[in-house]
Amino acid sequence: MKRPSLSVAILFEIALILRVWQIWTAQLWYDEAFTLLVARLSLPDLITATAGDVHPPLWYLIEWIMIRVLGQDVWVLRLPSLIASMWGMYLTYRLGQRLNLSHSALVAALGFMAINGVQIWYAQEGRMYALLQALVLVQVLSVLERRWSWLFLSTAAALWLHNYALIYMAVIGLFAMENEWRQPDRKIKRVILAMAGAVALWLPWVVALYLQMSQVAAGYWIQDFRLGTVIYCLSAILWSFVMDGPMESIAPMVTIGALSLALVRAWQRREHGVLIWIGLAPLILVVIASIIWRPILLYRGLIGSVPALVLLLAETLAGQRQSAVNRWIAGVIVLPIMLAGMITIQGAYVKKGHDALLIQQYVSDFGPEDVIIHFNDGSWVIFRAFSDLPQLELETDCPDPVGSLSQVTRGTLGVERITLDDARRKYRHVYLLGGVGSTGSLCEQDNMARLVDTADDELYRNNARYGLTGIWRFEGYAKSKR
Amino acid sequence: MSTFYYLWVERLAQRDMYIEQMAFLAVAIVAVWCAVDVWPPSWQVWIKAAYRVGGLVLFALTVAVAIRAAL
Repeated sequence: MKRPSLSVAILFEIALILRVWQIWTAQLWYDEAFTLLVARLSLPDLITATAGDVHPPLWYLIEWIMIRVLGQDVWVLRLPSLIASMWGMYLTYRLGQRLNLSHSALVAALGFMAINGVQIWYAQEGRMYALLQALVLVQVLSVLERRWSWLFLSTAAALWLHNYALIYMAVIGLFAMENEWRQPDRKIKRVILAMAGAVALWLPWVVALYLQMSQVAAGYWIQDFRLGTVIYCLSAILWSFVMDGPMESIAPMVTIGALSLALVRAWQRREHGVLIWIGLAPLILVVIASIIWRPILLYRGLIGSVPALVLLLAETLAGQRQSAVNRWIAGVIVLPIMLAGMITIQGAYVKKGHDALLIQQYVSDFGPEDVIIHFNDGSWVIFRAFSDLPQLELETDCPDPVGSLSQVTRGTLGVERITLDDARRKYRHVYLLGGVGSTGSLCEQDNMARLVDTADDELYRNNARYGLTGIWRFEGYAKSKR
Repeated sequence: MSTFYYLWVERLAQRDMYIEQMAFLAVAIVAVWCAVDVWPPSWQVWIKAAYRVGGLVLFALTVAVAIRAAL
């Protein structure tokens, strides 16, 4: 392999600095806090809790080891993602080289990956997405380099990591068949063996997956969709998933414009079929499955396609065939969107898990006979991972919101429920924590409004559309005795 | 769907509608750009120049929006 140039080395250093910077500062948000809670369980409980949730257990097993070796600091939970993200950058570089992309395109693609907000977010996230991206890249490179044991291992690991790996397996499996068909010494049997072996290794999880699918059919992170939603998901995973205002439409516009241009150029020159297939086929498969089966469109899951898309766009917009003026125009259009993505994601990052700090601040005079009651799973998961104070969830007549923890997971994590009246009889003070999410029902909101009217103290309140909405204190048995 | 928080769903539907409109505009812009290759040379000069000016305007607008979002 050709030695990397100085510009490539500098981009790797910039990537590393941006990914390490502040990895230890932000608190854990819901998904990461859930990861920590599951990783704290014993191994059998970890498997039970995971089976009751929405993902396979590999990521939680990695975190299980991490926190036992290095402790429970936030950076420990995020370290595997940081390593996976840097690995992903290296594999993107290798894929670009393997496909003989021009040096300018490689530098542009690595520059994009290095400073891209979404890439940095998932490098600093105690979740499995950076690793999913790296494993998809390993699968693609294994096919191109005809390393069958690597194909087997990376496919099996991906299947145990995220359910979207099934989609990638189908896409990469077909690509592997086609690639082998064109070789003088076809090794199609090896491809089938590697893929079938990976599936066989994953089979024990299929029963759990079946149960998961019936539970998460309408999870809120899986949107109902139309064409605009599909384009949004593509744009969200490329630039930023928290853009607001006009940028929310400008970024998808540039995405579709650049992609259309890339597709036309690739078709005119009959090239880059691999990148188009790996970049777009997973999305197409997800859309087809969503239409004929049930909604499974999830922008995060598309992260495995990002390196291929970035390489494709970089070759089209910044490759050697482009004139200097066109490259310059592409740069000036792309750069501000990239910066807007970085800024919005950085803004979201510093607010990550901020609710835990707020709760800690407002329940600072918490006594030994007091209790915290969470209105729903949202604040329970975040604050349970953060603090050992006694915490329960509110029992109400409203149905659980879509996307709540399942009964199995709740039971394993030790979530207990209580009505407000019972809590007031049993504890000296009750701190009720209100929360709102994308799936909160009107029944929930009405119930909350009714309950907080009877609170003795309002300690904190905001008008957030997501997360913690307030903290109220109720006098418990001490008041009734008076 | 009835369990969802009403405003949230409304906002997403509106967002996706805007995105569709912008995406169609983007495809139209790219279609014209690609078609320029087969047009008479005298047209190409003007159309490419217009694109470059348009690119600069889009750049200026995007920067302005990005700065506003940052502030």
